[in-house]
Amino acid sequence: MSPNDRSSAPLRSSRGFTLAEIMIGAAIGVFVIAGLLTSYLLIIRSGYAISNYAEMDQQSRKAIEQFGIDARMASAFVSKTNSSGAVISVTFTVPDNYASTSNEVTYAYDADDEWFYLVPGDGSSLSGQQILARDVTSLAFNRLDSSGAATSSDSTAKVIQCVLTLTRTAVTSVPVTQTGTGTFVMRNKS
Amino acid sequence: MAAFVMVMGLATTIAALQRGLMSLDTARNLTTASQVMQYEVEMLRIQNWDTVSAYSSTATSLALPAVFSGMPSVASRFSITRTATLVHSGMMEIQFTVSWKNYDGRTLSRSYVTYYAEDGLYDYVSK
Repeated sequence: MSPNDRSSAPLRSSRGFTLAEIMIGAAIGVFVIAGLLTSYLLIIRSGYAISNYAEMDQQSRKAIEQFGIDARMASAFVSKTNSSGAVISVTFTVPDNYASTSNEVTYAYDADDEWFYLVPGDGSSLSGQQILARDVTSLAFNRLDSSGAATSSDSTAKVIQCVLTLTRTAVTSVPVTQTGTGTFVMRNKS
Repeated sequence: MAAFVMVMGLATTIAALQRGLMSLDTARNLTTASQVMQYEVEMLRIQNWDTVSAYSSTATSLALPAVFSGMPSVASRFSITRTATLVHSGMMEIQFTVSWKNYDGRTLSRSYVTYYAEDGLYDYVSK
């Protein structure tokens, strides 16, 4: 077969795409890409939310655990209230752990900085302050008596409850909140 | 063929993401359930033996603690029961079980078990 035979082969028809086909293909492509981008953004936002939840969970657990250690040992406690009567800090008297401050430790909420913290002593000084949780948007100390009923008196309180709500906001993510609670009997308190 | 592979890939990704988020939901609900049970066990400590020994051996529904019943997402989905069994004279086994519905409709539950003796209380374990 000589090379010239190729020229004698019948010409095959060569067809492109019609305008309609291109437009439909482009529309489908745009639709798929838009879906992928949306999913991608949602996944990123979910990732931020999950990360925030994990961090808040860690902080609230640690804070409540620390609070519980001292609350369970407390033989006495004194609370301070704000102008509306809500308890904003509690000072426990515990055996031995805070010898330099008469065995007193205070747990308090700083609404301005949104911190939940402890400080050795009666809270009059912030020396030795440890921040237990940040971005705490609300915190409540509830006092219960020996029958489990709410009380507004420190002397009749036998149970102390800490309820804190943390909020986190990250770029591209909606704010997420987490509420942690811990309820503890002050076993050494009469 | 290519479209089929792409659709399968996307569907698998979305399904995996959904399962992951569901696991997160379960973990968060488990945290809430633990806090409810921790409250109940702690409050058990201030009960006297006469009260505890009179607890029913059948599952008894309890009201959610006030701090939780004020949270709509908890109050509408969580419930708690208490079962008490006399292990032997002077000792009760108390079990608290919290049940809740996940967002996919599945009902899950977790329990705390503790022993209450006439002369003291042991710490609780998760079950």
